[in-house]
Amino acid sequence: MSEADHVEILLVEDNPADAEMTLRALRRNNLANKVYWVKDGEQALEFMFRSGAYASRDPVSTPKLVMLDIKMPKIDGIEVLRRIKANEETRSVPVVVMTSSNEERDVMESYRLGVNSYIVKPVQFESFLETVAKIGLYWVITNRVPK
Amino acid sequence: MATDAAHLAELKVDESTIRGETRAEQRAPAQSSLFLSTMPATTSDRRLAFGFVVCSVALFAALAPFAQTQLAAVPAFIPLYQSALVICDLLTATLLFGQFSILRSRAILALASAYLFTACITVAHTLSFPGLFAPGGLIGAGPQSTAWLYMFWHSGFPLLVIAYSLSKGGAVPVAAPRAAIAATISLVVVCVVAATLLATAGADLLPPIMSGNRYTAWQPALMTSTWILSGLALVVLWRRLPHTALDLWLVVVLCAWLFDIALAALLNAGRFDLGFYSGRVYGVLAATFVLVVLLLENSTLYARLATAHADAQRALERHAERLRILHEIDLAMLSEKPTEAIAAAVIQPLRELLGVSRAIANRFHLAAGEVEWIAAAGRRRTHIGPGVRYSIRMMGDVAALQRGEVQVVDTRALPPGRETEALLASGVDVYMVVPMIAGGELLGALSFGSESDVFPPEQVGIAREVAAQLAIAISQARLLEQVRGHATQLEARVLERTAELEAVNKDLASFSYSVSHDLRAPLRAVDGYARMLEEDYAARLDEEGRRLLTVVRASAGRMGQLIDDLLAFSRLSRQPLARHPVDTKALVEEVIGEVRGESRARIEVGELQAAGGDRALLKQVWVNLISNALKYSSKREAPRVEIGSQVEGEENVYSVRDNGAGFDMRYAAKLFGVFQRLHSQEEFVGTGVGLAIVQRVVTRHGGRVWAEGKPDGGACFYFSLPRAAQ
Repeated sequence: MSEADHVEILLVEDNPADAEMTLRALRRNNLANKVYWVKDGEQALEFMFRSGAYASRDPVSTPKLVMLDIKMPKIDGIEVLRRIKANEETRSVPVVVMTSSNEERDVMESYRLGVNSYIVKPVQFESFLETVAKIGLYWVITNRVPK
Repeated sequence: MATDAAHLAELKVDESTIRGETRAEQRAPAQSSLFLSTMPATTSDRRLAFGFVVCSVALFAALAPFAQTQLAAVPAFIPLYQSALVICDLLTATLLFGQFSILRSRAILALASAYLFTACITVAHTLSFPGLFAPGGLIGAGPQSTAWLYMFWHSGFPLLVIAYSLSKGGAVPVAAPRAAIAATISLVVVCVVAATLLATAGADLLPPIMSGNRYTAWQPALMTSTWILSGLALVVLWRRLPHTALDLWLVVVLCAWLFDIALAALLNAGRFDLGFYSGRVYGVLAATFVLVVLLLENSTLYARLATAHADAQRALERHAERLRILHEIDLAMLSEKPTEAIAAAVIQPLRELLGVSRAIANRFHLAAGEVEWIAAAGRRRTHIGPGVRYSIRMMGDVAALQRGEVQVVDTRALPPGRETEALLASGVDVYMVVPMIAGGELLGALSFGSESDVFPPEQVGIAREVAAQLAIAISQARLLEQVRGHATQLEARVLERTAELEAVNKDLASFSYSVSHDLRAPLRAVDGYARMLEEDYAARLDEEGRRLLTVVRASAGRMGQLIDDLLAFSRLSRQPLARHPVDTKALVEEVIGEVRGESRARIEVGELQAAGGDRALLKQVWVNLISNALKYSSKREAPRVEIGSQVEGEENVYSVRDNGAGFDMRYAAKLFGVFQRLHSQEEFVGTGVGLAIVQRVVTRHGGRVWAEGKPDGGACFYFSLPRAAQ
């Protein structure tokens, strides 16, 4: 059993500072154990569709939440979202876009593709912590997903 | 080439000579050539008349010696001869009266009365003639009556011919011809009746002429004076120049008349001798000459009338055709047809109208020294250009054409070449070139020609009219083309500019996108890591260390706010403007509710005009102005904000007044600039973007923004919106 199995939250984030702060927020709420962090869209897709480095990942365990940044190198968040929501197997996985972008067109495009939530990362650290904690708690603890 | 030019110059036809040339055949026939009485005697008339006179003289000379030879008395000869005279004279009189009613000349009236008098007195003479209707004659005739009536008859006619001759030059026409004719007829009848009464009832007053069928001694003297009177009439007639055709025939008549009297009354001895008979034959001839000539003249006139009518008909048809062609050009021009189409529609009918073998509409390319066919029509087919080009030398003297003068070019004198041969082959020996000028510019020419080198003025006139129309058509087509070209160019330029603007806009959009995303992330890290430091290492930090961390975090927060405001501002200019009626009052109340917070200020909202514009953007204007007013008056004991508006001309002017910190009017110009602030961050927090947003929104709505204030004396911000936009 590898690290990539039994993941509850997949964090897709290219910015290590943002990733660290996110992980810190999740850790405070005891959600950090089952977080898996990938650094770009390509890795995210390989993880989701069990290809490349993740070809041997356990097909039964599916993340309960994908936290997705938009602006990333190689494949951006919008494209990742599109592929996840276009696939029968992965469609039901909740995806929360967490981005610095407050651009209306990103919001609209994400909702068109079937995003479950769209969060603008606050600059203020307290707000940031609070937001991330709320998301993690809601989607992983409160929300029920199909078995 | 020099010889060509010389030749062309020689052939050049000046317009005035073409117009000035009057051709007798073409003019409407004048009255002078219509009537025998006004027509000048032609040489052939003179010859014929002279022939008649010579024959008469010869016959007279042959008969004169035997004048007294007694022949058988044939009483039936008298009524036959007299009836012929009466009919001839009456007809002549009628025809002359007819001419008089048209010409109204006294001379013609006199001559008509001469013939009427002769006819009437001949009737009286016949009735009185002894042995015809009664042994002694009718109407109470005595033995002398018939002879005296003969005297009156043969002196009355020459007298009236003298009257005719003398009144010939009278220029004043008779005013009432019908009344004049009636009066003349009455007068003649009265005279004849009087003469008859004198010759019958008053015969005793007159000397005796006849003794039975022979003459008395009185007869020669009386007859000679009558004869002399006739001679006098001839002389007077001859001397009144110029001789008309009628004059000439009257001369012949008078000659015959003289021979008549000479044979029948002077040289003979009495009734029924050779002189008596032959003289009367002269009389009949005399009576018939003018009649025959008048009748001939009548038929000639009819023929002329028919020709004139046909000519008029043809002229009318040509005129109609001319109008039709001009109309066709007009229609083609109105329908914005290209010049080729107009010329194509017109050239064949034009050729037929001009009656030439070839007609060509040419466009000039003066710079290239070339001429281009627009359309050409020959007898068999019509060629539609463009494509055929030839040297402009074929058009004659271009400078003269530029002056509007037509050119006549002799094809046979042109240098040999394909075009020259083609022209000669289609029967164009000489052609005329008529310039097409519009707006003072020589655009082309109409050329047409055939074997004939005569170009009647009417033909030239038609060609000029059509050329002028075609010139207008060409220049109009050219203008249209230019306008279309400009429009296309303009359109292309607009597209180009739009594309440029779109590119710039796109750059701007991606720039602000990057700003919004990339600048926030490090800021968040600065704040986050400072906070983490605070959390994880609080124990190891002293008071000053914690204060420094607070400054770091506050700065990061402020920068975040700046970025947000800046993005909002840049979005303003990219966002399309939606225009709808906006209830300003409701909008302002809504904004107050949102921005009031814990402000102690008293806010007074006065009358507010409805506006037209983008509600979301206008809301930002109010949010910024009202929150500013609240912010800057917040340090007052009794903060007060007044909001209102009023109509000023074509605008609504809205105002937000506060009793706050105010500002120095010297810095008023800086108020609305981005990041411009008149207060320090310690005094009042802010980014300096709010008023820039206000100005941007108001300007995009077509309004203005300004402010009044003084330090510590409060401020008032105004903005206007056009009323028309509502």
